[in-house]
Amino acid sequence: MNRTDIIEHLRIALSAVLNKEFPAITAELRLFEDLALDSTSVIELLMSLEDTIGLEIDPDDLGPEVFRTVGTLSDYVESGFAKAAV
Amino acid sequence: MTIGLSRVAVRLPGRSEPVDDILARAGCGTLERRMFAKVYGLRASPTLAPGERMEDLLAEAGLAALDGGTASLVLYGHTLLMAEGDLGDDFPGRLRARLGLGGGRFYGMSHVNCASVLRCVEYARRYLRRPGAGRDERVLVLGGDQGSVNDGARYIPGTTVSGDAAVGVVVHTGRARYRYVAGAGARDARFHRNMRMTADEVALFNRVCSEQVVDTVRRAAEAAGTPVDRIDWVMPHLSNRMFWRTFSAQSGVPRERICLDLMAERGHNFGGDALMALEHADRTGLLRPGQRCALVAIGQGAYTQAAIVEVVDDGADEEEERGG
Repeated sequence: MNRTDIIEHLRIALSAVLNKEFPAITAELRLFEDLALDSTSVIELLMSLEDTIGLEIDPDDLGPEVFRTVGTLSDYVESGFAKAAV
Repeated sequence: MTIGLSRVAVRLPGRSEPVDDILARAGCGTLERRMFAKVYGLRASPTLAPGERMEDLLAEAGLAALDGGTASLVLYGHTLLMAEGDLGDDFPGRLRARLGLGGGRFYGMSHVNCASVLRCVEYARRYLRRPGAGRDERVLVLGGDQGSVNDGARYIPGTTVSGDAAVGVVVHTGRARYRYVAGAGARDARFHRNMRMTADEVALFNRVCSEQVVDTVRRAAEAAGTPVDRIDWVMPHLSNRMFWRTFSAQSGVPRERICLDLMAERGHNFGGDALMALEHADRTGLLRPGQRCALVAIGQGAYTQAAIVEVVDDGADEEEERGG
Protein backbone atom coordinates (compact mmCIF):
# COMPACT_ATOMS: atom_id res chain seq x y z
CA MET A 1 0.00 0.00 0.00
CA ASN A 2 1.51 3.31 -1.03
CA ARG A 3 1.51 6.59 0.85
CA THR A 4 -1.42 8.06 -1.08
CA ASP A 5 -3.56 5.00 -0.31
CA ILE A 6 -2.67 5.19 3.38
CA ILE A 7 -3.66 8.85 3.64
CA GLU A 8 -6.91 8.09 1.83
CA HIS A 9 -7.70 5.30 4.34
CA LEU A 10 -6.85 7.67 7.19
CA ARG A 11 -9.20 10.27 5.70
CA ILE A 12 -12.05 7.77 5.62
CA ALA A 13 -11.31 6.55 9.16
CA LEU A 14 -11.05 10.11 10.49
CA SER A 15 -14.39 10.97 8.92
CA ALA A 16 -15.92 7.98 10.70
CA VAL A 17 -14.30 8.74 14.08
CA LEU A 18 -15.15 12.45 14.00
CA ASN A 19 -18.49 11.99 12.24
CA LYS A 20 -17.50 14.72 9.83
CA GLU A 21 -16.70 14.62 6.14
CA PHE A 22 -13.14 15.52 5.11
CA PRO A 23 -12.89 16.04 1.35
CA ALA A 24 -9.10 16.01 1.66
CA ILE A 25 -6.48 15.92 4.39
CA THR A 26 -2.85 16.96 4.37
CA ALA A 27 0.17 15.47 6.12
CA GLU A 28 0.64 18.67 8.11
CA LEU A 29 -2.72 18.51 9.87
CA ARG A 30 -2.16 18.18 13.63
CA LEU A 31 -4.24 15.44 15.21
CA PHE A 32 -4.82 17.05 18.58
CA GLU A 33 -4.83 20.76 17.83
CA ASP A 34 -6.39 20.85 14.34
CA LEU A 35 -8.63 17.78 14.47
CA ALA A 36 -9.42 17.79 18.21
CA LEU A 37 -8.53 14.12 18.57
CA ASP A 38 -7.01 12.62 21.69
CA SER A 39 -4.68 9.66 22.02
CA THR A 40 -7.55 7.28 22.82
CA SER A 41 -9.47 8.17 19.68
CA VAL A 42 -6.31 7.89 17.56
CA ILE A 43 -5.64 4.41 18.95
CA GLU A 44 -9.24 3.43 18.23
CA LEU A 45 -8.76 4.75 14.72
CA LEU A 46 -5.69 2.54 14.32
CA MET A 47 -7.61 -0.44 15.70
CA SER A 48 -10.30 0.18 13.07
CA LEU A 49 -7.59 0.11 10.38
CA GLU A 50 -6.64 -3.36 11.60
CA ASP A 51 -10.13 -4.41 10.54
CA THR A 52 -10.40 -2.50 7.30
CA ILE A 53 -6.95 -2.62 5.70
CA GLY A 54 -5.21 -5.40 7.60
CA LEU A 55 -2.79 -3.17 9.51
CA GLU A 56 -1.13 -4.97 12.44
CA ILE A 57 -0.46 -2.58 15.30
CA ASP A 58 2.76 -3.04 17.24
CA PRO A 59 2.02 -1.40 20.61
CA ASP A 60 5.72 -1.09 21.42
CA ASP A 61 6.16 1.30 18.49
CA LEU A 62 3.27 3.50 19.59
CA GLY A 63 4.75 6.60 21.18
CA PRO A 64 3.65 10.23 21.39
CA GLU A 65 5.54 11.06 18.19
CA VAL A 66 2.99 8.98 16.25
CA PHE A 67 0.15 11.22 17.41
CA ARG A 68 1.51 14.54 16.14
CA THR A 69 0.17 14.91 12.59
CA VAL A 70 -1.53 13.03 9.79
CA GLY A 71 1.98 12.61 8.38
CA THR A 72 3.45 10.96 11.48
CA LEU A 73 0.41 8.72 11.75
CA SER A 74 0.89 7.76 8.10
CA ASP A 75 4.55 6.99 8.83
CA TYR A 76 3.47 4.61 11.59
CA VAL A 77 0.95 2.84 9.34
CA GLU A 78 3.49 2.64 6.52
CA SER A 79 6.14 1.14 8.80
CA GLY A 80 3.54 -1.37 10.05
CA PHE A 81 2.97 -2.58 6.51
CA ALA A 82 6.69 -2.62 5.80
CA LYS A 83 7.27 -4.84 8.86
CA ALA A 84 4.46 -7.17 7.84
CA ALA A 85 5.99 -7.54 4.40
CA VAL A 86 9.38 -8.72 5.77
CA MET B 1 16.23 13.22 60.79
CA THR B 2 15.96 10.31 58.36
CA ILE B 3 12.46 9.19 57.44
CA GLY B 4 11.96 5.79 55.86
CA LEU B 5 9.43 3.28 54.64
CA SER B 6 9.20 -0.34 55.70
CA ARG B 7 8.89 -3.14 53.19
CA VAL B 8 5.46 -3.01 51.60
CA ALA B 9 2.75 -5.55 52.39
CA VAL B 10 0.27 -6.41 49.65
CA ARG B 11 -2.90 -8.44 50.00
CA LEU B 12 -4.90 -9.62 47.00
CA PRO B 13 -8.29 -11.29 46.78
CA GLY B 14 -8.65 -14.93 45.84
CA ARG B 15 -9.67 -14.39 42.25
CA SER B 16 -9.21 -12.15 39.24
CA GLU B 17 -11.69 -11.14 36.59
CA PRO B 18 -10.88 -10.69 32.88
CA VAL B 19 -10.76 -6.96 32.07
CA ASP B 20 -12.60 -7.73 28.85
CA ASP B 21 -15.59 -9.08 30.81
CA ILE B 22 -15.73 -5.89 32.90
CA LEU B 23 -15.57 -3.73 29.76
CA ALA B 24 -18.28 -5.79 28.08
CA ARG B 25 -20.56 -5.27 31.09
CA ALA B 26 -19.83 -1.54 30.95
CA GLY B 27 -21.09 -1.52 27.36
CA CYS B 28 -17.71 -0.82 25.71
CA GLY B 29 -17.39 -1.42 21.98
CA THR B 30 -15.06 -3.97 20.45
CA LEU B 31 -12.47 -1.37 19.42
CA GLU B 32 -12.08 -0.10 22.98
CA ARG B 33 -11.97 -3.62 24.39
CA ARG B 34 -9.22 -4.60 21.94
CA MET B 35 -7.36 -1.39 22.76
CA PHE B 36 -7.38 -2.20 26.48
CA ALA B 37 -5.93 -5.65 25.82
CA LYS B 38 -3.50 -4.97 23.02
CA VAL B 39 -2.29 -1.40 23.49
CA TYR B 40 -2.94 -0.84 27.19
CA GLY B 41 -1.81 -4.32 28.21
CA LEU B 42 -4.63 -4.82 30.72
CA ARG B 43 -5.85 -8.43 30.98
CA ALA B 44 -7.03 -9.20 34.52
CA SER B 45 -8.28 -7.28 37.53
CA PRO B 46 -8.19 -8.56 41.14
CA THR B 47 -11.75 -9.09 42.30
CA LEU B 48 -13.08 -10.12 45.69
CA ALA B 49 -14.59 -13.59 45.61
CA PRO B 50 -17.98 -14.22 47.22
CA GLY B 51 -17.46 -14.12 50.98
CA GLU B 52 -14.23 -12.12 50.79
CA ARG B 53 -14.21 -8.60 52.26
CA MET B 54 -12.07 -5.58 51.47
CA GLU B 55 -11.81 -4.89 55.18
CA ASP B 56 -10.04 -8.24 55.64
CA LEU B 57 -7.49 -7.41 52.94
CA LEU B 58 -6.78 -4.04 54.57
CA ALA B 59 -6.41 -5.59 58.02
CA GLU B 60 -4.08 -8.32 56.74
CA ALA B 61 -1.95 -5.82 54.80
CA GLY B 62 -1.78 -3.58 57.87
CA LEU B 63 -0.77 -6.37 60.22
CA ALA B 64 1.90 -7.59 57.80
CA ALA B 65 3.31 -4.07 57.42
CA LEU B 66 3.37 -3.53 61.19
CA ASP B 67 5.30 -6.81 61.47
CA GLY B 68 4.54 -7.18 65.15
CA GLY B 69 5.12 -3.50 65.90
CA THR B 70 2.74 -0.66 66.57
CA ALA B 71 1.82 2.75 65.19
CA SER B 72 0.42 5.89 66.78
CA LEU B 73 -1.36 7.02 63.63
CA VAL B 74 -3.11 5.23 60.76
CA LEU B 75 -3.63 7.04 57.47
CA TYR B 76 -5.90 5.27 54.99
CA GLY B 77 -5.69 6.55 51.43
CA HIS B 78 -8.70 5.64 49.36
CA THR B 79 -10.37 6.80 46.16
CA LEU B 80 -13.94 5.63 46.60
CA LEU B 81 -16.08 6.69 49.54
CA MET B 82 -16.25 3.06 50.56
CA ALA B 83 -15.31 3.57 54.20
CA GLU B 84 -18.57 5.39 54.76
CA GLY B 85 -20.79 3.64 52.24
CA ASP B 86 -19.79 0.03 52.07
CA LEU B 87 -17.59 -0.78 55.00
CA GLY B 88 -19.87 0.91 57.52
CA ASP B 89 -19.32 3.90 59.75
CA ASP B 90 -17.64 1.86 62.49
CA PHE B 91 -15.00 0.65 60.03
CA PRO B 92 -12.10 2.70 61.51
CA GLY B 93 -12.79 1.34 64.98
CA ARG B 94 -13.01 -2.24 63.78
CA LEU B 95 -9.83 -1.92 61.77
CA ARG B 96 -7.89 -0.33 64.63
CA ALA B 97 -9.00 -3.14 66.91
CA ARG B 98 -7.87 -5.79 64.44
CA LEU B 99 -4.53 -4.03 64.04
CA GLY B 100 -4.05 -3.84 67.79
CA LEU B 101 -4.00 -0.04 67.56
CA GLY B 102 -7.04 0.72 69.69
CA GLY B 103 -5.47 3.85 71.18
CA GLY B 104 -4.14 5.26 67.93
CA ARG B 105 -5.72 7.84 65.68
CA PHE B 106 -7.16 6.90 62.30
CA TYR B 107 -7.76 9.25 59.38
CA GLY B 108 -9.02 8.54 55.89
CA MET B 109 -7.89 10.61 52.94
CA SER B 110 -9.75 10.48 49.66
CA HIS B 111 -10.07 13.96 48.20
CA VAL B 112 -7.06 13.51 45.91
CA ASN B 113 -8.41 10.21 44.62
CA CYS B 114 -5.73 7.76 43.47
CA ALA B 115 -2.97 10.11 44.64
CA SER B 116 -4.25 9.59 48.20
CA VAL B 117 -1.95 6.74 49.24
CA LEU B 118 1.28 8.50 48.27
CA ARG B 119 -0.11 11.73 49.74
CA CYS B 120 -0.61 9.79 52.98
CA VAL B 121 3.07 8.81 52.85
CA GLU B 122 3.95 12.48 52.42
CA TYR B 123 1.71 13.50 55.32
CA ALA B 124 3.18 10.73 57.47
CA ARG B 125 6.64 12.15 56.76
CA ARG B 126 5.51 15.63 57.79
CA TYR B 127 3.81 14.26 60.91
CA LEU B 128 7.00 12.53 62.00
CA ARG B 129 8.98 15.73 61.47
CA ARG B 130 6.60 17.91 63.47
CA PRO B 131 7.99 19.74 66.51
CA GLY B 132 7.88 17.47 69.55
CA ALA B 133 7.48 14.23 67.61
CA GLY B 134 8.69 11.15 69.46
CA ARG B 135 11.71 9.35 68.00
CA ASP B 136 9.94 6.00 68.07
CA GLU B 137 6.67 7.10 66.52
CA ARG B 138 5.44 5.14 63.53
CA VAL B 139 2.66 5.81 61.04
CA LEU B 140 0.83 2.99 59.28
CA VAL B 141 -0.28 3.93 55.77
CA LEU B 142 -2.99 1.77 54.23
CA GLY B 143 -4.34 1.95 50.70
CA GLY B 144 -6.82 0.26 48.43
CA ASP B 145 -10.45 0.24 47.40
CA GLN B 146 -13.08 -2.24 46.37
CA GLY B 147 -13.42 -1.47 42.69
CA SER B 148 -15.79 -4.37 42.23
CA VAL B 149 -18.40 -2.66 44.40
CA ASN B 150 -19.86 -1.67 41.03
CA ASP B 151 -18.60 -1.51 37.47
CA GLY B 152 -19.22 2.23 37.27
CA ALA B 153 -16.66 2.73 40.02
CA ARG B 154 -13.94 0.64 38.42
CA TYR B 155 -14.06 1.66 34.77
CA ILE B 156 -12.61 5.00 33.63
CA PRO B 157 -13.61 5.40 29.97
CA GLY B 158 -10.70 5.15 27.58
CA THR B 159 -8.22 4.90 30.43
CA THR B 160 -8.30 1.93 32.80
CA VAL B 161 -10.14 -0.60 34.96
CA SER B 162 -9.52 -0.76 38.71
CA GLY B 163 -9.38 -3.80 40.96
CA ASP B 164 -9.60 -4.83 44.59
CA ALA B 165 -6.30 -4.93 46.45
CA ALA B 166 -4.77 -3.58 49.65
CA VAL B 167 -1.32 -2.26 50.56
CA GLY B 168 0.27 -1.39 53.87
CA VAL B 169 3.54 0.33 54.69
CA VAL B 170 4.96 1.80 57.88
CA VAL B 171 6.59 5.24 57.73
CA HIS B 172 9.05 5.82 60.58
CA THR B 173 12.28 7.51 61.59
CA GLY B 174 15.66 5.84 61.49
CA ARG B 175 16.88 2.93 59.42
CA ALA B 176 14.29 1.48 57.06
CA ARG B 177 14.15 -0.55 53.84
CA TYR B 178 13.55 2.62 51.83
CA ARG B 179 14.89 6.03 52.76
CA TYR B 180 12.49 8.82 51.82
CA VAL B 181 14.57 11.34 49.87
CA ALA B 182 12.15 13.87 48.38
CA GLY B 183 8.68 14.32 47.00
CA ALA B 184 6.45 16.58 44.93
CA GLY B 185 2.78 17.00 44.20
CA ALA B 186 0.60 18.84 41.73
CA ARG B 187 -3.02 19.78 41.19
CA ASP B 188 -4.88 20.92 38.09
CA ALA B 189 -8.38 22.06 39.04
CA ARG B 190 -9.49 22.32 35.41
CA PHE B 191 -10.41 18.66 35.72
CA HIS B 192 -12.27 18.85 39.02
CA ARG B 193 -15.42 17.35 37.51
CA ASN B 194 -13.61 14.02 37.63
CA MET B 195 -15.85 11.25 36.27
CA ARG B 196 -18.37 13.87 35.13
CA MET B 197 -15.95 15.67 32.81
CA THR B 198 -17.24 16.57 29.35
CA ALA B 199 -15.74 14.86 26.30
CA ASP B 200 -13.68 17.99 25.60
CA GLU B 201 -12.36 18.06 29.17
CA VAL B 202 -11.44 14.36 28.97
CA ALA B 203 -9.62 14.98 25.69
CA LEU B 204 -7.69 17.89 27.21
CA PHE B 205 -6.87 15.85 30.30
CA ASN B 206 -5.55 13.01 28.15
CA ARG B 207 -3.36 15.48 26.27
CA VAL B 208 -1.82 17.27 29.25
CA CYS B 209 -1.76 14.58 31.93
CA SER B 210 1.54 13.00 30.94
CA GLU B 211 3.29 16.39 30.84
CA GLN B 212 2.05 17.17 34.34
CA VAL B 213 3.24 13.80 35.63
CA VAL B 214 6.64 14.26 33.99
CA ASP B 215 6.91 17.71 35.57
CA THR B 216 5.99 16.39 39.03
CA VAL B 217 8.44 13.48 38.85
CA ARG B 218 11.15 15.82 37.54
CA ARG B 219 10.61 18.20 40.48
CA ALA B 220 10.74 15.34 42.96
CA ALA B 221 13.89 13.93 41.35
CA GLU B 222 15.61 17.31 41.29
CA ALA B 223 14.68 17.89 44.93
CA ALA B 224 16.42 14.56 45.59
CA GLY B 225 19.49 15.77 43.69
CA THR B 226 19.01 13.30 40.87
CA PRO B 227 18.18 14.26 37.26
CA VAL B 228 14.93 12.56 36.30
CA ASP B 229 16.53 10.45 33.56
CA ARG B 230 19.03 9.10 36.12
CA ILE B 231 16.37 7.65 38.40
CA ASP B 232 17.02 3.92 38.64
CA TRP B 233 13.41 2.76 38.65
CA VAL B 234 9.97 4.22 38.21
CA MET B 235 7.22 2.53 40.23
CA PRO B 236 4.20 3.62 38.24
CA HIS B 237 0.54 4.18 38.55
CA LEU B 238 -0.60 1.10 36.60
CA SER B 239 -3.39 2.69 34.59
CA ASN B 240 -2.18 1.47 31.20
CA ARG B 241 1.01 0.85 29.20
CA MET B 242 0.36 3.59 26.67
CA PHE B 243 0.60 6.29 29.28
CA TRP B 244 4.07 5.15 30.32
CA ARG B 245 5.33 4.95 26.74
CA THR B 246 4.46 8.62 26.52
CA PHE B 247 6.03 9.36 29.91
CA SER B 248 9.23 7.64 28.78
CA ALA B 249 9.41 9.67 25.58
CA GLN B 250 8.74 12.95 27.36
CA SER B 251 10.94 12.40 30.43
CA GLY B 252 13.90 10.58 28.93
CA VAL B 253 13.48 7.70 31.42
CA PRO B 254 14.09 4.52 29.39
CA ARG B 255 11.06 2.23 29.15
CA GLU B 256 12.93 -0.68 30.69
CA ARG B 257 13.34 1.30 33.92
CA ILE B 258 9.57 1.67 34.34
CA CYS B 259 8.32 -1.34 36.29
CA LEU B 260 5.27 -2.51 34.38
CA ASP B 261 5.48 -6.24 35.16
CA LEU B 262 2.18 -6.16 37.05
CA MET B 263 0.22 -4.44 34.29
CA ALA B 264 -1.27 -7.50 32.60
CA GLU B 265 -2.30 -9.68 35.49
CA ARG B 266 -2.90 -7.13 38.24
CA GLY B 267 -3.32 -3.80 36.45
CA HIS B 268 -4.62 -0.71 38.19
CA ASN B 269 -5.67 -0.86 41.83
CA PHE B 270 -6.48 2.72 42.73
CA GLY B 271 -3.83 4.38 44.90
CA GLY B 272 -1.86 1.25 45.70
CA ASP B 273 -0.13 0.75 42.35
CA ALA B 274 3.26 2.32 42.98
CA LEU B 275 3.71 0.58 46.33
CA MET B 276 2.67 -2.73 44.76
CA ALA B 277 5.19 -2.24 41.98
CA LEU B 278 7.85 -1.47 44.61
CA GLU B 279 6.98 -4.60 46.57
CA HIS B 280 7.06 -6.75 43.43
CA ALA B 281 10.38 -5.32 42.26
CA ASP B 282 11.93 -5.89 45.68
CA ARG B 283 10.53 -9.39 46.12
CA THR B 284 11.77 -10.47 42.69
CA GLY B 285 15.32 -9.23 43.41
CA LEU B 286 15.34 -6.25 41.06
CA LEU B 287 16.39 -3.65 43.60
CA ARG B 288 19.89 -2.99 44.94
CA PRO B 289 20.92 -0.83 47.89
CA GLY B 290 21.60 2.74 46.83
CA GLN B 291 19.18 2.66 43.91
CA ARG B 292 16.62 5.43 43.75
CA CYS B 293 13.00 4.76 42.85
CA ALA B 294 10.32 7.24 41.86
CA LEU B 295 6.89 6.26 43.18
CA VAL B 296 4.18 7.88 41.09
CA ALA B 297 0.42 8.22 41.51
CA ILE B 298 -2.20 10.06 39.47
CA GLY B 299 -5.62 11.01 40.78
CA GLN B 300 -8.64 12.10 38.81
CA GLY B 301 -9.47 15.67 39.61
CA ALA B 302 -6.51 16.02 38.72
CA TYR B 303 -3.74 15.30 41.20
CA THR B 304 -0.23 13.92 40.90
CA GLN B 305 2.06 12.75 43.68
CA ALA B 306 5.63 11.53 43.40
CA ALA B 307 8.12 10.34 46.00
CA ILE B 308 11.77 9.44 45.57
CA VAL B 309 12.96 6.66 47.86
CA GLU B 310 16.38 5.07 48.11
CA VAL B 311 16.81 1.34 48.66
CA VAL B 312 18.68 0.54 51.87
CA ASP B 313 20.32 -2.74 52.83
CA ASP B 314 18.19 -3.74 55.81
CA GLY B 315 19.86 -7.11 56.24
CA ALA B 316 16.64 -9.02 55.52
CA ASP B 317 17.94 -10.54 52.28
CA GLU B 318 20.97 -12.02 54.08
CA GLU B 319 18.76 -13.28 56.89
CA GLU B 320 16.51 -14.96 54.36
CA GLU B 321 19.47 -16.64 52.67
CA ARG B 322 20.83 -17.87 56.02
CA GLY B 323 17.42 -18.97 57.25
CA GLY B 324 16.42 -20.60 53.97
